[in-house]
Amino acid sequence: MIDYDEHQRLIEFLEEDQLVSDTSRRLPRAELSRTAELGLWALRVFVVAMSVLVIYTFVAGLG
Amino acid sequence: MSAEDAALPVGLTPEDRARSSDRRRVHSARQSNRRVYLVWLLLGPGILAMLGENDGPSMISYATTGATYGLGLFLPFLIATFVMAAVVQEMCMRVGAVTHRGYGQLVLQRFGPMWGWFSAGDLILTNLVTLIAEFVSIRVGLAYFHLGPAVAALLGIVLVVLTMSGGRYRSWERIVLGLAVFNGLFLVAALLVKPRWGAVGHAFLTAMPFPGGNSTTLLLLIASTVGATVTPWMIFFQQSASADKGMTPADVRHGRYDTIAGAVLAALFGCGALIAGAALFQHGGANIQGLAGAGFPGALKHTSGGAVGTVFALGLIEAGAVAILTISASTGYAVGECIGAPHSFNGRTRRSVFWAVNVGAAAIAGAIILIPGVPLLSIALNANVLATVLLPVALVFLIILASDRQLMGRWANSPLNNTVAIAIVGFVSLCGAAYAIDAFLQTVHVL
Repeated sequence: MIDYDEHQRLIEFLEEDQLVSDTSRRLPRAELSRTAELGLWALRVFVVAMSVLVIYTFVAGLG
Repeated sequence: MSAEDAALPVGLTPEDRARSSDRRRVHSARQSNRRVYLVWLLLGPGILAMLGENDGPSMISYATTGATYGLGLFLPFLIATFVMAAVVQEMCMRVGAVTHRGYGQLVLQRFGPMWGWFSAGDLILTNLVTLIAEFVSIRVGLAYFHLGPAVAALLGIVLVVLTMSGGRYRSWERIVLGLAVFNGLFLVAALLVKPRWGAVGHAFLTAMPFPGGNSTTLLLLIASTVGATVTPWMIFFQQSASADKGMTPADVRHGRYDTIAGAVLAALFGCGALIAGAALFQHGGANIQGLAGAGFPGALKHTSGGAVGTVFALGLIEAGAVAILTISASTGYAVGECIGAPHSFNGRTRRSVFWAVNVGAAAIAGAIILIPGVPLLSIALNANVLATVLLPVALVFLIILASDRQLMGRWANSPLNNTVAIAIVGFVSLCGAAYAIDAFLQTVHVL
């Protein structure tokens, strides 16, 4: 079994929030303003519209 | 659980132990004021992201641009795009170093599963098709030496397996950095074609002569150059690799050096490919197109000598190989972060989800290039369009994360950072949308 000194030596060079046990902890959801929420919805519409164009172009190119 | 793992104190994992050992080196170099050694220790994610993006398709694209339009506009434009890439990648490094978490994990937790899985799904899809294009570029390089596609597929897959066998992020990073040095072969090719340096300097300073020809094609080429310089996989990769390397806020300054060094090297080597390609400008270079330009090394051999052809072919093999390693890694990080599985090169990688995704992604792409009749060129071109179109989403989330004071504290984006970053998002969105709409209109024969 690892001794206390070895344990301290391992911990010494890592930040507390750098340990796997800490980075595996879930973070809370971001609190977004109404403008940011609207921006993200605009982004959704942009992505869907552009993806449809690209997929159509790709499928048409195969034929 | 192995006896070695069982000996670790409760709460510590083999990943922590490996990272602690790397951090001890950094700590020691900082304490003893060994500045050069400290820079050496902290180099890695930035250079790998930038040189990984100087991949096979990008280098063929730069060479095609040079062969079709000469140096003119594209030499300074290429450098400007790498400045843009450096701004974006610096944010990734900073968020990774401060939060110790990857991009996929942060998007999933801060913006919910819909956006988290959308980002990861988009990345997996575009990475898979980009990986196919990387295998094709290795195939193009090897074809110059009369070797077939099976060798290309095997080489890529074996490289991924071997580089992961060390079980340490540090060993993986150093091996890939060693391979990435050979991206400089494109600069060697540029020197060997003996360009007129006066014309190179003139193009660099004045962006002239301005390329002629079809303006739609020219606009598409500009859009694709932008899309080929900043990509979603680079964002995932540099943030996750910075966290995996164990970087902390104290390392942000050196992370910036790493990112800037990567951008400078990538711009230099990218310009090398452009200048080498421009040697074909007066020799019907416009007929050697994109990934179908399997004849590039051969054409350079014909016009500038066997050494140039050989160097260019070797460069394509290197560019494809390094991109396969970094793009597979970004896929492994994204999947691990989203499903909550271990996602690190440190510790026991073999038989892990991270290992399986890394090797599996490369194996699927390698197998696809062996299928006769698969429309590789169409897949590669549309993957590039899709990556460009989806990039604004990745950039918007990156800016929100980098500006989040709750996460980043005093390392959050400054107003100047945000202004520049938002301008980049606007420019990239415009290019992506113009690219997608134009390709669509041409398909439905409106243009």
